Amino acid sequence: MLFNSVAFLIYFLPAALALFYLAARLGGGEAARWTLIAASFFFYAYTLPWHLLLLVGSLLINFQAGRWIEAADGDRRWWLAAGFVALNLGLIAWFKYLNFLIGTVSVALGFDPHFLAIALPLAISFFTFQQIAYLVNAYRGQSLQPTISEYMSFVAFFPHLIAGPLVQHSDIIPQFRDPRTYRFDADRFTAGLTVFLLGLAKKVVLADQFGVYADVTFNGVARAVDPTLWEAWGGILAYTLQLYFDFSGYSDMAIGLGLMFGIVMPVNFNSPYKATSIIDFWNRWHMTLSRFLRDFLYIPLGGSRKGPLRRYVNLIITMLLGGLWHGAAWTFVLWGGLHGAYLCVNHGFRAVAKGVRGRAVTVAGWALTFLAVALAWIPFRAHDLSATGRILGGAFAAHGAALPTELLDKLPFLRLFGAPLGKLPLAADGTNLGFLSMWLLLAFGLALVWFAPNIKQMSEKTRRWMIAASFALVIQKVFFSGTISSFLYFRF
Amino acid sequence: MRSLLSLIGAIALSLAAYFAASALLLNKPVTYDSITRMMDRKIAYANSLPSPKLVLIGGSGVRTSHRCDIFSADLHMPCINGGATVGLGLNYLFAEYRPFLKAGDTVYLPLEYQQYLITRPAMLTGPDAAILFRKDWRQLARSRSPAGPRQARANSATRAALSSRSPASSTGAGRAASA
Repeated sequence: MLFNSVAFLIYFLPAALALFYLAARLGGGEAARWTLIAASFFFYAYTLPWHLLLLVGSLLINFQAGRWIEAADGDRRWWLAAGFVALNLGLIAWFKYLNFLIGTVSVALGFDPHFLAIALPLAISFFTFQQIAYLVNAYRGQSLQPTISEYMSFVAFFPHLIAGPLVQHSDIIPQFRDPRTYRFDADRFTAGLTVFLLGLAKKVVLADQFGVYADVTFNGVARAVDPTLWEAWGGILAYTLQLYFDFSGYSDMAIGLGLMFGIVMPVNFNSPYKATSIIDFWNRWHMTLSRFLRDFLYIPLGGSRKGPLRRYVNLIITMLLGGLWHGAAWTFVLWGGLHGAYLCVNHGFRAVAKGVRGRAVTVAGWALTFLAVALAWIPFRAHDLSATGRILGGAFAAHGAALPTELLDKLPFLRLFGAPLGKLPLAADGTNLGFLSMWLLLAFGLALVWFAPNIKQMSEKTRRWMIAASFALVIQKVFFSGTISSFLYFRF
Repeated sequence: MRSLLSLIGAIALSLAAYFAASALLLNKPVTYDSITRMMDRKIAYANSLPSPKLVLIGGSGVRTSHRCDIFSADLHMPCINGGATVGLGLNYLFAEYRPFLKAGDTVYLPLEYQQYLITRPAMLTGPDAAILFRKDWRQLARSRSPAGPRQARANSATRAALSSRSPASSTGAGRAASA
C-alpha cells in the first residue's frame, strides 16, 4: 500500500490510528502493539499477500535467534550469530541477487542466461538488514531483550517497514515500553500530521513532476536516442531532484506517521544538496543507511584504524556493497564505486590540505560536490551501462548542444549555448513550452534544495505556511490526477 | 489542541486560495486561457458555417495534421477543424459542438487514444473543468460520470456518427444523422 494512495489516506490510516488508540485505552500497550502489528501486516500484504509469509517467518526466526544468541556463550554464541546472519544474507541473496549472478556468470561464460522466476519481496533489504543489526547487537550483549510484540512492532511498524528510515531496536523499543506512547497527545499528533503532509507534498507535487521530466530523458536514451547537452542535463537534474524529493518525502511521511502513533524515528535527510564535501553529503543523505554501513560494515572491516591505505580499501568495499544493497545491477555497483572513489579523494584531499579554508573553498566544495553527486545519479537511474555512457556523453556535449528554434528566435543571445533545432525530443516530450516549463521548475527545485530550510529546521509557523502553499495541490494530485506513483526506494 | 486548529486553518486557507486563484486569477493554469480562446474562435466559426458541413473533432493531432482548406476543396463543403488538445475530454468537446451540428453535417472523429481513457476524476479536474469553471460552471455542475446523462448523450452522438452510412465511417467519419 502506498502512502500517497486514496486507500491509505482515507481508509487505512484513520482506521489504524483509531484502532491503535482504542486498543491502548481498552487493553494497554500490549493490545495496542498487537493492533499495530496486525495493521502493519495488512499494510504489507495489501499488494502481494503471499510475501507476508516471508515477513512473518523472518520475524519469528530472527526473534528466536536473538534469544538463542543471548543465551549462548563462547564459540557457540559466535557460530549462532554468524549462522543466522548468513541465513538472512542467504535469503536476500536468493530473492535479490540470484538472477543477477546467473546473468553475470552466463555472460562471462558465453551462455544464454536462464533466469529464475523470482519476485522480489517488498522491502526485503530493509527488514532483513534491521534484523541483522538486531542479531549483531544480541551477539554483542546489547539487546534490550524485547518481547515478541515489541520485536515485531519494531521491525514491522508500517511507517518505516517498506523504505526506512533504517532503525535499530534501541531506537524504537524503549518508546514502545513507554506508557506515554499510547496516550493520544493532540500536539504530538498535529506535529506528525504536519510533517506527513509536507512529505506528501514533496512526493506528489514536486518529485512526481520531476519524475516526468527524468523519465522522458532516461527512457528516450534507453531507446538508443543520444541526448544533446541540455536534454542530458535536464534529465540529470530532474532525476537528482526527483530522487531527493521522493525519498526525503517518503522519510518525512514515515517520521510524521511515527509521531502520529507516538513513536519518534531518526531523521534521514539533512539538506544533502547543501553538502560542501562528499563526506558531508553522506552525513546528510540517507543518514540511517550511512550509520548502518558505518557500524556494521566499515568499522568491522577495520575502519580507519589500520592505516590510510586500508581505510581507502574499506571505504571502497563499503560503498560498493552499499551500491549493491540498492539493487542487483552493475549500474548500482558503478554508483557505489563512484562514491567510494569520491570519498577516497575527499579523505586524501583533507589529509594533504588541512589548512585550506575560506568561503571560496566552501562554495567551490559545495558546487563540486553537487556536480559529482548529480553525475553519479546517472548510473543509479540509467537502464544499463550503455545508457549511462550515452547520457554522460550528452552531459559533456558529445552529441552537440541544441535549443528549440522558437526559443532562439525570441531570445537570440541563447544561440551562444546551442544550435537551433525544431524540437528536443528528450526534453519535456519535445514541446517548446514544456522545455521552458521544465527549466523554470528545475530552477525552482534547485533553489529549494540549495537555499530553503528543511522541514526539521522550519519553525512551526513556517510549516503552517508551507501547508497553506501546498495542501490544495496535494489534494488535486492525490485525488484527481488519476495516477498514483510508487516511491523510488520501494524497489530496493 | 491549539496547534491542531492552526493546522486546520492552514488547510482551509490553502483550499480557499486554490479555488480563488483558479476562479479569479490564473485560469488554471495560464495556458488554458489560450485553449479557451482557441475553442471560442472555432465554435464561433462553426456557428457561422452553413450546412451541410464537415466538422473535425479531436486533439492536437487533428488540429496540426488535418487541413480544412483541402477537405473543403475536395468535398465541396465548408469545413471546421475543431481539433484542440488531447487534454480536453470528449464530454466537453461534444457538448461544445453539438449545438452547431445539423442534419446532413458530417462529423469526423480521429480521436487521440488518450481521449478515450480520461478518467472521471481527471475529467472533473482537468482542462475541461478548468475552462468550464470560468466559462460555464453550470455545465460543470451538471457533469456526471462517463456513464451519466451528459456522457450518455455524447456517446449516443458518437455512436450515431460512427454508424452512419457514410463510406468513411470505418475510419472514424460519419454523418450526424440525429443532430
